[in-house]
Amino acid sequence: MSSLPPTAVRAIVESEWPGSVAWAGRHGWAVTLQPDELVLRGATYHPAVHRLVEFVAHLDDYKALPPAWRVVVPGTDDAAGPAHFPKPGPEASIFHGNLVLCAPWNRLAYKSVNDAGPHTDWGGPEGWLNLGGDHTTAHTLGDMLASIDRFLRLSPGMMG
Amino acid sequence: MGTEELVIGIIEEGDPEYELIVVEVEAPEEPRPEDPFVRVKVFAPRVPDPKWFRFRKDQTVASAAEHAAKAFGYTAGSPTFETKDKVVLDRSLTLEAAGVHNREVLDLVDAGTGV
Repeated sequence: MSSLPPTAVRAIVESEWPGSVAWAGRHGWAVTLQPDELVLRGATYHPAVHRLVEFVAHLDDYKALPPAWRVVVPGTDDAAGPAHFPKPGPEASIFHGNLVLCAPWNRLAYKSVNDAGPHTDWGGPEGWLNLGGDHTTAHTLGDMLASIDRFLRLSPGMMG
Repeated sequence: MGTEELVIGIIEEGDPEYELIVVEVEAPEEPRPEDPFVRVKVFAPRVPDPKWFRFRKDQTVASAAEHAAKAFGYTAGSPTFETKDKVVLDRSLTLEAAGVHNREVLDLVDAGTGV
């Protein structure tokens, strides 16, 4: 596993931040960056059930590794249970029954990193920028937010 | 201005339509049904500022979105466009069939599947 200096990660994150903020403003999201902790928080309302959904990305080692994205209980750092985790569907979704955001750009989707991560077939997370296939592709923070937003709009509600 | 001298791609300073499309964007537009092109303003999630593009109406959404994605620095994925009403356009349709109209504002999105 890589271990990038926080200053290098912070420079990458700050270079992508203006695009993320502009995207959020156009799409009804609230995003904040805690640069010292290298944590991004993004929140919006679930379109189908009008409930707040919050996503947190831990950005250490970005982009040698993808961010570690989690859905949390809004306003906390607690991992979302079924009541706060969007339901997948009707098409293949990034919202996985294991309560994991299942995408190559989420470190926690990799079994080698996270016991609940569904994927052993993508290699390690260090290869995330070169992973081929038809699945969702997002190589910047703004692109990841846009992808979450797209699948959230397909979600029929919450898991629980 | 005739359309025979126009090519698809980004509309920036120096383009024959730059003043008309980008600078005078609020000006009323006269219908030009014979016009083979459509001009669209595209935002991408990775940068704050949009770009204007001219595409052929009979060009597929996939082809136009890939062209735009390249201009924004994307090198991977399956780009498509999303309208202001949050409709993700079918990549297999032509821009005309997808209902894209002149001076429409679109967002570039990835059409990749969930997993």
